[in-house]
Amino acid sequence: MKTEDIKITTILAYITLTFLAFLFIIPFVWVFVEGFASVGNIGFGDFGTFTLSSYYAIFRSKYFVLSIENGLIQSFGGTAVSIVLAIFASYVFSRKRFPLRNALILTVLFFTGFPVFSLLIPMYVFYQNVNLYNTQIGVILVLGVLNLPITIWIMKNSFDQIPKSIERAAMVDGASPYQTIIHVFLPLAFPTIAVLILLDFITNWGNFYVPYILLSSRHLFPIAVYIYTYFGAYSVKYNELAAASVIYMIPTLILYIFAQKYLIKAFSVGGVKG
Amino acid sequence: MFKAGTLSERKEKNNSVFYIMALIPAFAYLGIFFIYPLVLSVYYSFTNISLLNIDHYRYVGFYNYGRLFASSVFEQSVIITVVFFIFSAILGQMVLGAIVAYVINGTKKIFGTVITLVILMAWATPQVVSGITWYSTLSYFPVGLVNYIITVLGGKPIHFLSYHNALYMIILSNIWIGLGFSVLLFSSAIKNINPSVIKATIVDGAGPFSRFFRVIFPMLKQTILTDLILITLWTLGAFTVVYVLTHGGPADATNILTIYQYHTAFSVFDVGLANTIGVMIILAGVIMSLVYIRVIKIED
Repeated sequence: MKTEDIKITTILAYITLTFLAFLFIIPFVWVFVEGFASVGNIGFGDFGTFTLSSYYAIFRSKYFVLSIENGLIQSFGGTAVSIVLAIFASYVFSRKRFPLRNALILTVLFFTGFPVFSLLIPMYVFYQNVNLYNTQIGVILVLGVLNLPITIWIMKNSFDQIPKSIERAAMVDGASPYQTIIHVFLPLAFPTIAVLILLDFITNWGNFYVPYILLSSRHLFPIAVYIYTYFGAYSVKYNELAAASVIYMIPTLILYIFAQKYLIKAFSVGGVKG
Repeated sequence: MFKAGTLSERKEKNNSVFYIMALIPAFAYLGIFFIYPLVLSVYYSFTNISLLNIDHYRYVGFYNYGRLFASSVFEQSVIITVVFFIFSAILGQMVLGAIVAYVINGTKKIFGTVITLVILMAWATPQVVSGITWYSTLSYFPVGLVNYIITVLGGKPIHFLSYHNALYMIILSNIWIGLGFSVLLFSSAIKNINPSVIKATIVDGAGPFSRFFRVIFPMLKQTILTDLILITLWTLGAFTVVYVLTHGGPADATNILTIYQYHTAFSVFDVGLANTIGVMIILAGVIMSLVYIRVIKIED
């Protein structure tokens, strides 16, 4: 009798989970279907015939292609800034004991989960004053700083795993700390760094409010802002909007499937250990 | 021997210059682009700075704070944010996430992986697109997916994004976005629980529900703490989906604090007050995180 109970709950588990997954897919239905429609409407009444014309049309649009370029420049730029600065800071945190070390680590940890949206408004005023408003580099610097704390945190944890003896061997051979980082730490921590590059890139690519608040020229908009302004425009061609959305989300979804396995390790903040 | 000592001493000294030089860029950068705006945010909250003229402003003391606490819009926004937070983050993401992860743990591995991937797709989707997908799903006019199904089945279309329903819809969309992360976090934690403990409870005759709440839930303290802090801060800072889906409307029905702050700065141009709201959001995040850490004591 007991085993029968367990069997029923197991079957129930499969049914419930399948149903849940089904519910999660529902919101995606429209973007994927509408992108292939010949009639631009948001409803489900009339899609016209199946066609690739909306994909063709958006790639002929100068601003859409430009927005992909801008999105790539800003996302990669921000990622590069966070990763490079994090490598050196993480090395010092992982290997050296010095006064203020714990205070600095706690600062980094605190910023990791900071509600950063609220900083964008003082940032806007600050950027107006220093002429960084409405520049690519301005957006890159903010995207970079938002990811820096978590990047340092994860990279430090990964450097902590590298045995001291390997490092000491390099030092005995006369390697400077800089050479040790480049020739010992980077190759050994490469898998983590690769995942961090992926995660930082995905975060930047998906960020909407940083470029939305800090940019005003259409030719600088990344794809996130482009799609939003297109969505808010007076007469929207919904089939093109859907096609653009699909193009925008596909890279993230694919990268996520790769990064998924490591995601949890990345976020296992754990205790603040020595 | 002596000579070798001084050599390595000198080397160590050179190295400490390197260590300092390695830390300075990261912290100078954090200082200028993170801490400085944070300080500015507090500073501006005590001034009457306006976007119409950002160069001329003066110190006004607690004037903005007084105005904010007397404002009924702020009061309503706080209530909306609290409801949004409790239902979408605590119940919809953390509790539901833990339960879903537990249920997934009892199924075949490949099945569980597929389900997790599907749920996680929502988390991975760029939020502007999430806003658009939810709009297309819920729209009343033009007819969105759900209303289309309702009409085909012979029902009357529902105005999902109306004044009375919109708050439920942003809660739903935030659950949709965040559930995957909590499921992933709890899945890996549940996998790490020693299976013999679970087997022992089965032998003892505990049903799946009491097993979950009495045995497994308490073993997940560290995960719960991590999850709570992250989803709290993310939900407090949530902006994009709500902004795209409802713009805080209709008639402020979904005016969560971030949206309120945004409109105060960029529609009313009142940067002083906007920063006061920002300070409130930051304080709420910090205080709640500290409370969690206090309440859920972790033995290390």
